[in-house]
Amino acid sequence: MDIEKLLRVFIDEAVERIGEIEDGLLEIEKSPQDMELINSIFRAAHTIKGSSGTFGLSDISRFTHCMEEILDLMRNGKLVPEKEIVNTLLEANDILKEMIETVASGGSFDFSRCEGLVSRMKSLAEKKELRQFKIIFIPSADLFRRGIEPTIIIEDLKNIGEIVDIQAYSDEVPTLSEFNPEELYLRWDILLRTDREESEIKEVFEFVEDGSKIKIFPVTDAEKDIPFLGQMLIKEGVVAPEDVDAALKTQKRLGEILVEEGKATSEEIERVIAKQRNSKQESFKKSITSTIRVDLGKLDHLVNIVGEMVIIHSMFQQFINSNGNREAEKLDLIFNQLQRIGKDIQESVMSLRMLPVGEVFHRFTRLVRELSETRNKEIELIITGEETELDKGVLEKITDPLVHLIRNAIDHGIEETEERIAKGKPARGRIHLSAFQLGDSVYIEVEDDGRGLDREKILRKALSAGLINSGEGLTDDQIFNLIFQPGFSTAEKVTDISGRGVGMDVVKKNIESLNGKIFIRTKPDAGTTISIKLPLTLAIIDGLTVGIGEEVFVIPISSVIESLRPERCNVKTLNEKGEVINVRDEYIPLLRLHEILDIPAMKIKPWEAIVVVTSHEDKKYGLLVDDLIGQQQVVIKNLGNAMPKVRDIAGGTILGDGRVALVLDVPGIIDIATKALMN
Amino acid sequence: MAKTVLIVDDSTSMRQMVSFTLKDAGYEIVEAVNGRDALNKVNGRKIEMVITDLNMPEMDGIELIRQLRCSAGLRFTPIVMLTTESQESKKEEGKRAGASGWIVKPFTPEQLVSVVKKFVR
Repeated sequence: MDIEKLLRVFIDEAVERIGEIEDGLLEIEKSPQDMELINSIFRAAHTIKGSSGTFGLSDISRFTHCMEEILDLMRNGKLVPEKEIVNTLLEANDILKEMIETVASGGSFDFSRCEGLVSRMKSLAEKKELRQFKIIFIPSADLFRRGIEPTIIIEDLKNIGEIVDIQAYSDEVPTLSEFNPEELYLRWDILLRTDREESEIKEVFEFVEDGSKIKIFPVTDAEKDIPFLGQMLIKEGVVAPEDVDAALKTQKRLGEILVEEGKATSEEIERVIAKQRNSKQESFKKSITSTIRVDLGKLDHLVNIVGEMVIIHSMFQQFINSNGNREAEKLDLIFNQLQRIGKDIQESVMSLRMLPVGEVFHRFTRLVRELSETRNKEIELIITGEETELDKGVLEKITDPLVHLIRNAIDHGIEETEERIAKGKPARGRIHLSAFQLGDSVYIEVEDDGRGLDREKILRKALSAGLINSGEGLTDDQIFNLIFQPGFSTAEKVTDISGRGVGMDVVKKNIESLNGKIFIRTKPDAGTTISIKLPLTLAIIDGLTVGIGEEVFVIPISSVIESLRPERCNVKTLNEKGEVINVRDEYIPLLRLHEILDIPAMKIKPWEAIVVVTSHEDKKYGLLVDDLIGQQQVVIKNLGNAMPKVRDIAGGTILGDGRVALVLDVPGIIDIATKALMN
Repeated sequence: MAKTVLIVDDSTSMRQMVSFTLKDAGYEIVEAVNGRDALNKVNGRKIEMVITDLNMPEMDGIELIRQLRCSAGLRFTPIVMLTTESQESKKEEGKRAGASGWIVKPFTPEQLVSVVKKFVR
């Protein structure tokens, strides 16, 4: 056969394929989900590309390659056949037809004509790749008052992509008495599939950025790029797509079925499985080689240096503010940039200390299995949010309290199997261990679907243990919180699991030593949730700087409720309680910090000074100080070994003006004061 | 029902441009020449959105935003301010007063409509 004749065959075939592509493209707009249709268009283009290359028509081959790439993206679901794309492909197909006709007539095609089209196709293939973004949207609480409707933002997201998943969280919604209808308490997690850039998603949030927390990050899945076995078998030419489909329908193991039906030998399947396993390992390797082990000492040193930098920043700021020189504005601008970078460094350094909670969480799987066996209860542990990150120091200290909470849930929470069945509940009990981040806090929750806390039993126990005098006037919440009191244990007989003498009071103390808080939610026969709120990090806190006499002290903002100057008539002295102040009809013990710390104060009369209201163990205490100085981030430093451990001081810090200030340990101070009062 | 947008600007040409564009996009328009005039015009009317210039005689845009945020009917109404590149500090002031968003002058009709659509549906 001579080359002329072969070329003829190529041209005939190409014309036929071009017709198929055209028909297919016109059809695809009506049924964009038809994978077989997309496949047939792809195959047609692929054929032309291959055969034109064989005939040395490399320009045609390159051109069809561009078409093929777009079709390939469609085939993999990464590109939606929108009108623009289909039109471009149709245009390309017309040009392709011209090219083939020129070849048939023996002329030469001017390829410079299609340069614009090629670059358009390339940009379509590059830009329009569908990606998934996770968007965490914690709106500023005052959004409604700024005339902004958050649902419109979610609508806008729908306009630039597909919302694959959306989750609204309502756990910040307060009780009815504290509920303010003008405040926005919700936050959202959104999974968006889109071909747009991250910056375009950001634009949607343009007007809500202030005060809101918006995080957008691409979701990457290490194993996403590995084709399924079926796809690989087809690609390797071992079986046809129909065989795979039929096999999948029978829901047996794909390889076995194909061998049974004689479509492939077990060796062939083994070979491809080995190949699949390899690519799995490859991708796993990729994901683990992206981490590096660093000595914790080095990290802590870095954190310390960054802390110094934060301090220098405040010094710089103060200097600029106090020196009204002509260049101040310019200096301010440069300084702001420096500060922004500084903040970035600070945040990323802090993140180096962060570890995912998953490692600790998964240890509990074994604990639950063992304990449920000894207690003869069927219990399943569900873990969520294992990727949530916590400071390494916090994570280490949280493990023991969690063990205790899980033991409690198994021992006291989940009922015996017979009891559950009698109640019409699933025989198998469930414990849900979850972690999530909200603002600057991380929440860890232990939730069981057991019997819930027994209000009456707690009350009886608290009465007999002498923790309270009567149950009158106590809210349910206050009663449930009695379990955190020292000397409380509801277990009527001591078991080998929970009755070890370590009570919930220790758990609470541990959490509070981490500047955390612990909450209970419970419902009879529905279960109990213990929720632990923890700060993201221990090293840097927001502090309120206050002045007493010549000294400056820092009170951690987390324990401050409000500060006020009381009216003279609202300061009273009660016999058993000492000094109190009346704040909106609530009597709060007044603790004179200058007396507790034994230093001279400038203002002795509370109505001339300032009272900082703090809370400890759900009770409020007013701390008397001379003055409020300001609010700033402070880096807590250890006082060093030379100082004996003092109860009232948590550490020291360096202020913006270079002075050293002590950071007050609010629980410690309250303890000292209340004990002094009792004596 | 068409949504009503109040446009407040002392410049006649700007008012006309905005109101022409928005009428074309299907909105009802109420016009006012300064903050005081605007407060008179909103009285008893149902307004779904306010677009205001900042520099105006008698009562400027910032003061208008403050007053609107205190009035029962418009506390939660979207208010968009018209700013210029050089007015960064004014913009911040407006945001603190309770503005919902801003459009930087000069802007095209398309930009105007797309911002309006970010607040009223």
